Amino acid sequence: MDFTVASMLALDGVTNGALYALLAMAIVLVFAVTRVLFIAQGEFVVFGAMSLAQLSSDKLPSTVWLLGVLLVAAILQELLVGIRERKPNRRLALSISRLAVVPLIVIAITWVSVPLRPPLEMKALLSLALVAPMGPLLYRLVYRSLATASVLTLLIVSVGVHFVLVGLGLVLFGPEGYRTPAFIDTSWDIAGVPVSGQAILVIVATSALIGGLFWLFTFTFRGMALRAVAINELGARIVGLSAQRAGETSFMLAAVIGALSGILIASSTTIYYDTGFLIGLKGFVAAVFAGLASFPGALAGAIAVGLIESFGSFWSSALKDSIVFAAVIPILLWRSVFFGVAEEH
Amino acid sequence: MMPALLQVDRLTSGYGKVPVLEELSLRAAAGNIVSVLGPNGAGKSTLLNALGGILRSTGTVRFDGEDISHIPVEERLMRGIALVPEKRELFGAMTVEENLLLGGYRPRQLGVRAWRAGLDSIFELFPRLKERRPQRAGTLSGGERQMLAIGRALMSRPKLLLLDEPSLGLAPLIVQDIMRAVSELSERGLTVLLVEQNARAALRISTYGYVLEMGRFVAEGDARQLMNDERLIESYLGSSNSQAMVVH
Repeated sequence: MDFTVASMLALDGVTNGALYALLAMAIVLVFAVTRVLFIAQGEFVVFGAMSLAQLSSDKLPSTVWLLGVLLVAAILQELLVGIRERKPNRRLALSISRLAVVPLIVIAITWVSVPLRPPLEMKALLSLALVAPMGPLLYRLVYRSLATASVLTLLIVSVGVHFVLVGLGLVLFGPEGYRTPAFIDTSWDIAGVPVSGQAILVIVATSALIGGLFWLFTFTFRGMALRAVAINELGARIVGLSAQRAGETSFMLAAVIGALSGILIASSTTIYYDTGFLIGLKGFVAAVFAGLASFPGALAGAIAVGLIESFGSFWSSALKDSIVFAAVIPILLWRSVFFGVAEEH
Repeated sequence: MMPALLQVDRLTSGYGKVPVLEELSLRAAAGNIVSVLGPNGAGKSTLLNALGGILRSTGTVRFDGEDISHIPVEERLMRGIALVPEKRELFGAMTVEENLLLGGYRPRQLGVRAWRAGLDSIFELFPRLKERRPQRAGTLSGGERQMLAIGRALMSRPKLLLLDEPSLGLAPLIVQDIMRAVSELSERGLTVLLVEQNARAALRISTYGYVLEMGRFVAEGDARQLMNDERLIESYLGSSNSQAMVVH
């Protein structure tokens, strides 16, 4: 291996690592706020990528139907719960309309704009907007009523959610793979190493999003409220913050982050209905690296995962996934030796 | 009789299937401090948590003329009922200032422009908190945590403050400080429902009191009248008597 190959591998590793970092942060965020280990995080990646792929061939994306299915299910659930708890009709109508308004607007905009052939950037925004409401809808449908369940129960439920979403993905997108056009086609030569514009876009977008999350959690009231729910849920409810709202917000962020990752990788990787699991799992490894608790730790872990993967694939491309997942074992050993007690609580 | 800010009728609550409270009725008029006294395990905290909306209960709770029996804690707060629970439930990893700001969620949500100004009046009431402003809540002493919990509740600009055992585990001088602060707040128009084991300290600042024993009210009356009822203090509140003497 000479310098050029090593730097190409390193660039590749950092680019992938940046994407894993996004997913890892989403996983850490969701876990901190709701105690859900969200295995299905990778599915949002697929939904984002698929929406953009179908939109860029000027088709109505199947995620419109998926969003519709989730919305109908959530409305039915709201109705059933409302009737069982004898909610007054006015309040029931209000909560249903509040739940339905954003998804319906997004579906309508997509419907109208597909024949107009908007530019690629607009399509990317539409894809994000289509996937974003799926997060809160999933939270309402599945996790809201399990607020007091154990972490293990929530994990098992997440595995179920993952299978359901992959199944729906197969029905809606079919078994064939999709790719999207690249946002930036040009490529530069830096010190003999080819650097693609897309790789730079990935790194810039990731850094911007991480910066944005940092700003949200440090300087805004909303972010402070999310942290408060993560630290002490009862304490947060006592000051009027709804744990449910915080759960919905964290799932929405997770969906946006997932979809954005999908949009960023879909030009360089062929995406199938079930690609998300493996990508999400690598984000999960990075999150474990940080003990599911620290954002900077998750970032470091993700870059490490990206590098291990790219160098691993150079030495043995058939085993690259095994190498990445095998890396969890020393990490867990290291964490249990040095942080074991802290994690008990 | 003046219309009550809080009117509770036949409230029953408990943990699981075991009722701790049996059909309690109670009222608190606006601007008053009403205390609920009783020994350990009488159900005082259960009553307060049920009124705050943390615990499920049956019976009716009317607040400010509206039936709030079935709404959860976060919505009760939005109507103006602030709860300071026995365990305080602070945000330990966040600073004193952040804790207080989070308490300001209600006025912020209601569109009060100057909601942050609440900080200054809290610091005026508890100057200790101002010194501890950038410190993490988890590192505070017991008395400071108590002040922070009350301060955080006050940031919501409540109409009714539900205060659980403010004297618990605190040195007598600090208890005095906190009781004085509570009494000051009520002079400014806040209604307080105060749950206390330390009967004398509580009655001294209250207008009315209830005595809770095994989930039932065994006595009620004007605070002064209760305080002078030696037999009552002896039989129900004896354990806190010696503790209360120290406060003098």
